[in-house]
Amino acid sequence: MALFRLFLGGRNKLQSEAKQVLFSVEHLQEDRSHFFDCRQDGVMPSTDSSNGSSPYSLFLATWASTLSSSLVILRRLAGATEREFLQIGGQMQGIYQHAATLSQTAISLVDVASGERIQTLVEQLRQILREMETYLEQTQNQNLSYCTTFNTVENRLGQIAGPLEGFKKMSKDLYILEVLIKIESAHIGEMGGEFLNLALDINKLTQQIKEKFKIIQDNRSLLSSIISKNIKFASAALSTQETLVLSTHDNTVKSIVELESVNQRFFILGSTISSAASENSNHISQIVQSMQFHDIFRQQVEHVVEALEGVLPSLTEGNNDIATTGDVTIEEVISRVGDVCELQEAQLQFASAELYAAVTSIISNLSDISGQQKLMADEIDSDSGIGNVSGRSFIDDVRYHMASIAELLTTSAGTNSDLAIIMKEVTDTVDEITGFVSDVEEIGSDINQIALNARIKAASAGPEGASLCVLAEEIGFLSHGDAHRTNTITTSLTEIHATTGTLYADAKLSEANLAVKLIDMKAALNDILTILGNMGAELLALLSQIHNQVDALVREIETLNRGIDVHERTKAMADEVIGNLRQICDKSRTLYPASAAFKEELCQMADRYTMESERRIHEDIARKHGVESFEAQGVTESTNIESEFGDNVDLF
Amino acid sequence: MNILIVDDEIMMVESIKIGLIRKGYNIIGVSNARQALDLLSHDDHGIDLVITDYLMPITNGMELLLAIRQSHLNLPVLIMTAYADTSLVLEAFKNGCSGFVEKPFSRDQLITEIKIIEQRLLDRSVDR
Repeated sequence: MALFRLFLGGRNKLQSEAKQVLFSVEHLQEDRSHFFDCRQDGVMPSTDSSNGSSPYSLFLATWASTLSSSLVILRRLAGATEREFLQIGGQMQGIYQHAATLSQTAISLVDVASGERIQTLVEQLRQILREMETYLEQTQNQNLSYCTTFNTVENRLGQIAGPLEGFKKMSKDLYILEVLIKIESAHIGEMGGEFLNLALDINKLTQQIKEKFKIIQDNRSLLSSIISKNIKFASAALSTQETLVLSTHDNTVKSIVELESVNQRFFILGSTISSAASENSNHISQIVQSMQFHDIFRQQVEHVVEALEGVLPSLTEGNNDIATTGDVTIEEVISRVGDVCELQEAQLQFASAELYAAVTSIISNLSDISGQQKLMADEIDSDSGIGNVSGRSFIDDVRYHMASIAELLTTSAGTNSDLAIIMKEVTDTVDEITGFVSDVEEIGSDINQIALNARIKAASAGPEGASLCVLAEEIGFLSHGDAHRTNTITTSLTEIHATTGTLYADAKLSEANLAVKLIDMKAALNDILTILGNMGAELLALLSQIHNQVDALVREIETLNRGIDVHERTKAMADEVIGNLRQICDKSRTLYPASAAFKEELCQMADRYTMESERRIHEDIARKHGVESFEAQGVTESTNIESEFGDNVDLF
Repeated sequence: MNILIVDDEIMMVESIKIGLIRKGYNIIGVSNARQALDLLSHDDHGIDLVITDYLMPITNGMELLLAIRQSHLNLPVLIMTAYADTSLVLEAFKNGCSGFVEKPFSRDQLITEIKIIEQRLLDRSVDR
């Protein structure tokens, strides 16, 4: 116990004594040789009476010098480590703030693409899809009506082809009758003059029939040609339109699916980012927490310092005659110095290793954070589908679909417009042909009139006009056949006119409605394209911001990491002291084994050292020296608290 | 002065404990909020100050502060945190927190904070 008091006392002399005991390595070597020689002879060195100092004095002074220089290193170590850790901690605050800003930017990016805006777009697209379906159904129906009408007109035109040919034959017959009437009128002399007038009328009528029916025939051919040509166009248009409908529907659905998928993807991404941000935040927080380790290290180093300061005076106080004065023998001093050095070497070794591991872990964790930030940015790149300079983004895809839809609608409107123009042409032609219906009816009436005249004149001619009577009958037959043809033609033309006229009127109305719808749909599509464009610009800006923030953060972390060498320097300093302590301990143990007081003291250490790690070190050393019944005493008052609050509660 | 330290990091508790014992404080260390509240509910140790970490599993420092306020209206609570965001600080002070110390901190910084609280307690007792 006296020795223990000795170790604790005399600290105030430490500085001045340390300065006095700076000896060279040569002296130490010399002194060691002398010392070991004495032990081998089994004779303890005695006081050197010539200079009044112990034979150990040079030896002990060297130890004192070594311990003093170790103390200088250890004090510097405690202070410098704390300063550096606090400085790194300050930089970590910046990293934490920047990581939080980055997370916030990532969340903003997610908000843009996963929130209400996308849902509104999807709803707008659904509305457009419904309108498009209606629009395309209407245009399809209209085109179908055109096709049906064209077929009807074509059939009707086919029906009047025969009757029109009949008029051609009739004009030939009339011509023959005219010639025959002229011949017969020449036979009957003066009376034939009346018949010549009849022949002249027939001639005029024949010319009229030829003219009118040529025009009608030409128009029929024209109409037939228009119809025939456009039936193919209308059928092709109908078929194309069906494809358009499918394609438009497909594109719209694709856009909706894409946007919904984006919505979903960003929702998941948001959750990932949020979780990564929280993880990172905790990670950084834990790093900062672990940086508080400097205080533990400082405590441990301070313990070592205190212990060395405690033992140092024994090496210098009265070392001129240490073996013979006071209540402490030289053996006790050497042994005790060995005890202290052994214990403090282990303490320092442990503290240094722990600090080294802690800082290595901090560096590694910082690298992980840096990697995670990069990974998060990469995930945003790949999962968001926003794309970059080289890639297509989902916005590009949706815009492309939208543009396709707009184009398809325009094409569809163009087709409708073309068909409407054709319909107008058909209607105009039909109108023109229909204009001849009255002519046809008039011709029929004229033939009837001529036939009647012919019969009257033949009757008035008496027996001489018998032959003319036959001719008059023939004209009557022609008139009868004409009435049937005229009826067929006029009926067909009237029907064609009615059909095309109604369809054209409906089509004009429908076209106007469809045009308004088309304008509305295009405007809605344009709105969506504008919103998508803005959204795309916003997302790209945020993405670029994220990349810049990640780059800055990664640079910041890497710069910080590169600058952290406190553990290496600490280790080097600690290693130097550990080497010194080991050297002293080895020498001490070579001379004298560990003292009983030391073994006993190890068992009592727990009263002074409360750190579990230090207790373990005491236990290990005690066991190394053969103490089997080592039991850390712990804190006297802790027993009750432990039972109530567990192992981690200590009361002082 | 009797101080209760609450931190899930046992090494941290030990480190602070030793540092403060050397400065003459009496220290009790526990590793979670439940232990702290149990101890305070059977308080025969005359706890004058609670120093708690903010980031702890299950119950964090802020929640512990609120729980303490239910039974100990005037017991000073000092929060240790890795990051004292403005919002966190405001919320803590609103809930009656006596001070903050941001990690990593030096022992001197912690002692300064404790001394401020100690002085307040002293002033309060003089006022009475």
